[in-house]
Amino acid sequence: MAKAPDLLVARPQGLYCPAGDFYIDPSRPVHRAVLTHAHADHARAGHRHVLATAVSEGVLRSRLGAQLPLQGLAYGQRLVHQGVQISLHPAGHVLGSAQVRLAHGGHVWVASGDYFLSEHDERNPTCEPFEPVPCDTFITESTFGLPVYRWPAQARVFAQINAWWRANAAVGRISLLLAYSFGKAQRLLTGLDPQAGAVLVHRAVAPINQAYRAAGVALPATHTLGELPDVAAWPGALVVAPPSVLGSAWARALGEHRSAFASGWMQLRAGRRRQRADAGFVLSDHADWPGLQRAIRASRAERIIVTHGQEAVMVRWLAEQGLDAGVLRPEPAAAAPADVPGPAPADLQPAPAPGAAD
Amino acid sequence: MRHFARLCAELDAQDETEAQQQALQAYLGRAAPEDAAWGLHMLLGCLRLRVMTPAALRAHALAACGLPSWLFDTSQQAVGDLAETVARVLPPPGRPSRLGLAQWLTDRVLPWSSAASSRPAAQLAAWWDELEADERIVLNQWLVGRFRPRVSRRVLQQAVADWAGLAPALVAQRLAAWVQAAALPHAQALQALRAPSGATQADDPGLAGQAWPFAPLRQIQPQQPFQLPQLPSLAGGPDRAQAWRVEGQYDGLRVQLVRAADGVNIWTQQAELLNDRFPEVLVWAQRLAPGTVLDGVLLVWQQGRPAALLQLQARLKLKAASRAQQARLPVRFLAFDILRRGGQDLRPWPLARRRQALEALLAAQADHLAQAFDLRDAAGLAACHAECRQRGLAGLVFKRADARYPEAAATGMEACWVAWPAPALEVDAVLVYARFDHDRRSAPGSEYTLAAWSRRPADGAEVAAAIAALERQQAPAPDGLRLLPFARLRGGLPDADLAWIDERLRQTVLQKFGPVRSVKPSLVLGLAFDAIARSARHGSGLAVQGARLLGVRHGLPLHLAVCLDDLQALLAPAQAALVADALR
Repeated sequence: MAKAPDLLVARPQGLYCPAGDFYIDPSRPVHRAVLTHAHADHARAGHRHVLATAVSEGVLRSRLGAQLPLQGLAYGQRLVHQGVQISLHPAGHVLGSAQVRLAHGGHVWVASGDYFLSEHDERNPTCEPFEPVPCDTFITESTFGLPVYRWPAQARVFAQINAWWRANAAVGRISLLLAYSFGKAQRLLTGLDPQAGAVLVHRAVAPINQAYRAAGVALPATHTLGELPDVAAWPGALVVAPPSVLGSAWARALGEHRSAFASGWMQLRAGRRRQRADAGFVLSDHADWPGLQRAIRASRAERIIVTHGQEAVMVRWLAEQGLDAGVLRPEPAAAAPADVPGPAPADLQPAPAPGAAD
Repeated sequence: MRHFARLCAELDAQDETEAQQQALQAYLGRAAPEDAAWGLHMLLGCLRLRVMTPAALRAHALAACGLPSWLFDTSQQAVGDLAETVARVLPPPGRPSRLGLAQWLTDRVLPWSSAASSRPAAQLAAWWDELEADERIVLNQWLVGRFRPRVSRRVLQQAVADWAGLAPALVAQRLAAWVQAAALPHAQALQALRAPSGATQADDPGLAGQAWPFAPLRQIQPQQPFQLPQLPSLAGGPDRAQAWRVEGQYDGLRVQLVRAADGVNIWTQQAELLNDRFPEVLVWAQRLAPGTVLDGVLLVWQQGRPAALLQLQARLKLKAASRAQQARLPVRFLAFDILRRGGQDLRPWPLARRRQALEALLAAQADHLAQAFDLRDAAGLAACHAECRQRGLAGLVFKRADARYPEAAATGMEACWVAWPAPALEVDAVLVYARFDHDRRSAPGSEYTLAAWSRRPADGAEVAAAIAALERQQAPAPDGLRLLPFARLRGGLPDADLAWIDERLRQTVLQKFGPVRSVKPSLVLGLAFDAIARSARHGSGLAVQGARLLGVRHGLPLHLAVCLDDLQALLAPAQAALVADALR
């Protein structure tokens, strides 16, 4: 029997489903896009129709504009498009992040997008936890796909951050905590000790906080700092801001402060030395090495496709574990049709009989 | 172990002196006294461990983690360090222990390193299973002999001084005694370190082979014209007793030579011991009577005169100099003061009396005595200052004839020694490269590279032809006129001038190399510097020391800028020959 054609292939625009004629997280404007989450390297503006989780709607609209042609989908809800069954499942990465499950011709593929899972049984408190989705082919990310990446327990990292904050506050210094405005910033906010002092945020963080709160995520009270931050009213406060402010006039206007960067890259001493902040905390919204292995095992997939990061390492490692591992194949057809402009495609329709196409 | 590993991680992550000192103080307050004593011992570099080769550590780690070797090696490439890679590829500790640093070292690592037998890998795997990643890094670094904490002796001294509430100089002495004692540390040693002044034997440096706190030397800024009236009288003049003595200043490394009962120590101002680096100096100092402490400088001595500091720096880089290296760059100690003789503290004596004692001591070895001048008036002083370079001096030093050996904390002209640098060397050089830094976008000025002509240009036409070739990126003929860089420096001019230069540079960019631009030679800048020496750093084979810009030489034709022959004429004779050799 001839092998079934790949349900997802690589096109210059991004991950493409030939059977359903749509893209997952395309890097260029297309007619139909499924977006796993709202980070800028996955969600770009200009698509004529976007399918994403309903819970990520607020964040997506705040980043890509209110006019976004978005169809929101609940986790687990199934749609059928050109015979391809589509559903979205929690990835634990950021609010609304999803794995995309596709079923077609008796084969099930799951594209995980970015996901968070570690060897500790813990979850990102700002979103639904990663849900293992059984499938035949699992497409995994591999940002931290080396065995030296093992995240410390989240509670311990937050204890370090709070101790750092208290030590700065004790000598009247501002603590400048650098983190991506969407996702990491909100996760940090949930872990801060409300007793330690006031929490201020950069204006890039504020609208995302609003979207999180609107989606029902409990975040502590924050004040938003303007273009010229005035922190005089909050001595010893903690400021959450994107990493780009480090060394800027904005950061200097905070006065006497200490900076710290929260990221998985802070795990290695070389990574810590490379960045210019005063301290580094190991906190990542991506899976560490044990987390990647757990997710791959839990998928029970026979075939693993590795993207985003340490592809070569992971492919070789998984192959040595006896799995059919590889990278995405390019589309076999020589001439892929160009994405022609036209009217916005219609929303997708729910599956006629739930579970029937499995 | 937990506290110490955390400290090492913090020292590794922090560049700022203040933050490092805070981390050290917090550690000294947090750790048990015995552990803290061992911590200091390790940070001071007193204990050199090496239990196994890096290859053996890797083999043990591979067995313990069960990963394929290619994956381990790929990980090591990402981490950049074997000790850390091993620490991180292993799963979190299954049986975490709270064993202190002292016990880790005395009960486990030291017995292993002293025993000739090797232990089974299971032993090491069990240890790793007790430790967090930061602790494993420290252990692994010990095992392979690569434990090098990222902290300077000076920061360590200051942190201990602040923690103990003692003067840094006293702590420096006590830590130096600690290093020399080479005994295994214990809690009492830490108590003794904290004890009030005068409490321990180490506070008397002569006994323990220690240096005294160095007398501070105040520099008169070369940019400011020196006012002779600041020196009312000179020692050779009528009012001898209270007058100023004038001595030569050398472009060398200031050290104290301590001849104790059991040997000789060479101490720097940073309380570093340089004994291993300068064996010839040790041999010479063995002739001194025990209980002698001399203050002076180390110099490379070539062809009967001091060589430039760059030569000494070349020797300093060598941990142990071979005979050939000693012969090529011979180092000599020149004494200018005596602090102790026959065990007696001479520091309270007036300088004039100390100098007599020093001259008497070195009567038979006058070539180890720093130059001093018997000057009577301002005219004699000015003449002496003008001749500094011919005498191989970097300048003159003024010292009160009636003053004791200055305290480390002394301030003010009267209490200190005051250095007057030799007149600067000045040349006009051509600007060839500029480096624009993004960090300093708001302020004008960038880092400039200045060059000399490879030979004296015949006229403006030859220069114009050479520049035209440069613009076409044409390689010059072997004997063609070239510009050879010899100095790289930043700013030092009024902002308006720097802004003007920057604007001019932007219009004449030829090529980009990252942040560096090569520019079409069109600007001649006046350059002053304190010394020039042979160096492989620049294309000319020369480098200058203490370079500063004097200004833009508007209207000076390019072909009149300095050429290599002019620069070589400024070198000491011995070095000029070496440069000529290197260029040949």
